[in-house]
Amino acid sequence: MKKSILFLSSFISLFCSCEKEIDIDYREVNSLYVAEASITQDGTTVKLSKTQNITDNSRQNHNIEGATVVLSCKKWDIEETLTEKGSGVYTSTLKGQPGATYNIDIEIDGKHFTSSSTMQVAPVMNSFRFVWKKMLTERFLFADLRIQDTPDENSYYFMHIYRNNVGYRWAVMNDENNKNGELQQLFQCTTERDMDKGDSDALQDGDNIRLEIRSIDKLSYDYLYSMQVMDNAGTNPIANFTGGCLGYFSAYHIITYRYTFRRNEVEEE
Amino acid sequence: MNRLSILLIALLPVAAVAQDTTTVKGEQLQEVIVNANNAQRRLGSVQIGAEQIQMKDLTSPPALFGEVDVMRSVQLLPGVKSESDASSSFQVRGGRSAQNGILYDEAPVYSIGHLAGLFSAFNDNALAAATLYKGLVPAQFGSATASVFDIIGRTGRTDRWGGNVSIGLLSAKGSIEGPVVKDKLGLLFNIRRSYADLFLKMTDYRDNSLYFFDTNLKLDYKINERNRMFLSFFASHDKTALSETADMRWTNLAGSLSWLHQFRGQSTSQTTLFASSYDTDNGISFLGMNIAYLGHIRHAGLRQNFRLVFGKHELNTGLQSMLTDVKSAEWTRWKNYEKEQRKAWDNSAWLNWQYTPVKQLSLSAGVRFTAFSALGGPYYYEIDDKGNITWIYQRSKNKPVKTHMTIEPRLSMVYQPTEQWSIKAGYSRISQNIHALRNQNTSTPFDRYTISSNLVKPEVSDQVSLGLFYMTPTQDYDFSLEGYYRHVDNVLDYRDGVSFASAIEIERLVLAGEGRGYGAEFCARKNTGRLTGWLSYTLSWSQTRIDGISQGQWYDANNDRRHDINIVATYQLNDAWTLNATWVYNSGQAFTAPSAKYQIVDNFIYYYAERNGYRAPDYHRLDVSATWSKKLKSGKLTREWSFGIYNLYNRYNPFLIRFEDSQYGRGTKAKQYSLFGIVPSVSFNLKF
Repeated sequence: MKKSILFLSSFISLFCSCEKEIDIDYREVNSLYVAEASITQDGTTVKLSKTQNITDNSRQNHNIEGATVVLSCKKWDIEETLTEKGSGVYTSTLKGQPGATYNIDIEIDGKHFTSSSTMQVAPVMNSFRFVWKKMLTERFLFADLRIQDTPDENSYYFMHIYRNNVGYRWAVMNDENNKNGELQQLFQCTTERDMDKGDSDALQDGDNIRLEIRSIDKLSYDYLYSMQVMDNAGTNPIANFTGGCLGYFSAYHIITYRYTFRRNEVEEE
Repeated sequence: MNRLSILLIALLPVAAVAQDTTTVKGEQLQEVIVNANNAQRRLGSVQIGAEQIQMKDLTSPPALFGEVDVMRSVQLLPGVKSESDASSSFQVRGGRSAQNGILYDEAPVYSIGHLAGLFSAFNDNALAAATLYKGLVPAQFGSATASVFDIIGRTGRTDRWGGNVSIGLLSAKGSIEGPVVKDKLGLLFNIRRSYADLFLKMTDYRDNSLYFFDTNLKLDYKINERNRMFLSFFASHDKTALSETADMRWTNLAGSLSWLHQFRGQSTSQTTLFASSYDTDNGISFLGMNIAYLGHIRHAGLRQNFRLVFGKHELNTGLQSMLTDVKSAEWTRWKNYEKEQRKAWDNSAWLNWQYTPVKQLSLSAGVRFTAFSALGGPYYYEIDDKGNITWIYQRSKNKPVKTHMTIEPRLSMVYQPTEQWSIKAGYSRISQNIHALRNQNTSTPFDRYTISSNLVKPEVSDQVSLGLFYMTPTQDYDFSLEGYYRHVDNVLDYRDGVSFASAIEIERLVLAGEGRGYGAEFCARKNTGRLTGWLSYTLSWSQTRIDGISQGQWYDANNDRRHDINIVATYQLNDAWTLNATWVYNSGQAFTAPSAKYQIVDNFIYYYAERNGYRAPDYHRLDVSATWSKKLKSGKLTREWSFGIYNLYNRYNPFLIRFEDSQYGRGTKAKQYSLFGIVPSVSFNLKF
């Protein structure tokens, strides 16, 4: 679980004199449904699964088969049942239109879970770079992303860095800090020392980096923001679906940027 | 052990000297040397739940980094808990540290101590005595639902000039005291400054800052036999900076001018003008990111108290009028500037009657009336269930927007059938109108504060307590057993899914709930002989209920832990050497662990089924110190060396527990982070 919480990991490593693994006697709970649903400019995808116990470290399949997923949009008078593709994935070729609000209804074992989201216009990326920043005697690697805010709207963004097709760092932000101007998101990636050690979490030469930027609506932002801050507070993200289903539904416009990480191309502050 | 810890240890400590004499509150004109037998006072005082503390008791336990700290020593008393290894703040009977009211010579102060709270800004050289009211307080005090910690600054000696200097490696301090005008005007001046920043300049950390300073000034002017004036001033400042990247500063200022008049007999009048300010200023700036957070709490007020004694009756009556100014936040984030600052007029009046009809029985009954008005000028608003603003309005400047009135009855009694036994009982209601919000368990400069308003109601606590006290005939030992039940309404906490920086309008981010705590405290003390000290045991429960969290059911508070044991011992080896030891044991603190995990946005996310449902590993440590003290032949100079070891057996106690997964969500691990291993210290002190 990696997020873009600036300084937290550095704070812990700087001020704590010792870390060790401890045993916890976890209490098991009944599994819950989880939905991650999206409609973009390219199509519609819904992934359904169940929670797994915290001590379950197997590769066991937790996907949900046999659900009925219906997507609708009053503005365009659309109602479509998604096609089950296996492995808990349900899809449709239905493409999102900016300004339209989409509703989703998921039926699993006779229970209905609903949510809605409004499609946004495409985000605009200004720049993306990796940069070294020295703090105390340690050099930290940051990814520095700049986005041009969508004018005259309250805008929300979700940014996700993949490393070799595995989620690496993500964050959400809104445009309150510079409306209609350039917005900045910094991701703390690793330290020079960990990179030298070949730490599994540290970027290495030749890593394939994929950056996704989504323009999302406020409901999706609230959900993802709450997920971003929950790790420190030990709380769950706020509900996005009715009925107790975990996860969220988001109508968003996405742009993608690909990059091969080269250590000698990292900029100095 | 990482480099910064090693650096801090290398820059270590200083110790200080306990006071020879202590003066007590200026309710009497004469400077009083507190020599009453402590055991007798504990047995016979009418107020249950009050710990009357002499600085000598609280400055003898071994100290972290050798910095003698009254706030950390208070944590060794029964019913009092430390927030964490990283904090000098304390929690009383299940309350949070933000529910403690700290008065320094009548002025309210907010105690973010030095080094982000690692130890308090109160210099022990400057303190005379203190009383900790554990939620049961006479009517003269208010505004704090967990406890009132009433600290009295020491006055300077009036017979001759003297002072001391103390030199360690973390800080140095000095004091000077004496008669500015003989037998008329006494002065005491203390100053303490850190050394760390000077050492940092000689290391690879030269661009960083770890600086603190504090000072106290007290003037005591005897106008005549019946009138006396006190001027007290306290300031502390901290700056912790990471090169030009991150900068945290916080400042405490407090001042009071007090006129004490003695009527015929024992009756007195005390009039006090006071002001205080607690300011925070934090910033981050690098790689194009510019963020600054500021906040403050300021007070200015007038307090008048009459203490009237008629035979077996004692009345305390008075009033206080105070202006409060709270800036919950002012921030600049890139090009976004926002500020929320509100003011209030806080008035209170009280009457407390103490009566001793017979030698065996004393009663104390009182009532405090509080009227707290949030004032117009800034915006106020209404919000919906989700915290969205539905209505904004603005009243004329300084016109009351909402006035909260509370009536707070107080009752306490002691029945002492014999010289050795007493039974005490009490009840208190107390309100608090400044609310602190924090995302984490301990106080930091990033805490936000707000006042009671049209949306936020005063926090109100009710507590009952019953106690049994016994003293041996020789008074060498005394024992106490107290039980309590405490309930508090309108406790604020952050909503799920928000942080302190989610919105400038803090009322949008919070939910109100209730808390309760109950438990028993046992304390055994040895008061005489070469070996003195105490053993205390606290058995306690602390719970919270907030609509929308844990299905609205009661759940363990994050400061809940069941057992606390403190053993404090001082051994006078000979005229030169004094040995001290402290052993602390806390059973596991409540914390939240995940119950399941799932995949979202290609990351594994934890699902938390129960709030604070798990227990951290137990905490325990042994601290020891040895002090060598010798007077020089002249008799006016005393040299003192102090050697200490914090956490002697180098146990890594839990400070933080985090959960981590492998890259693919397999192999969830719970990792415990510890703050301090063994920490030695040494200091030198010279008294003159």
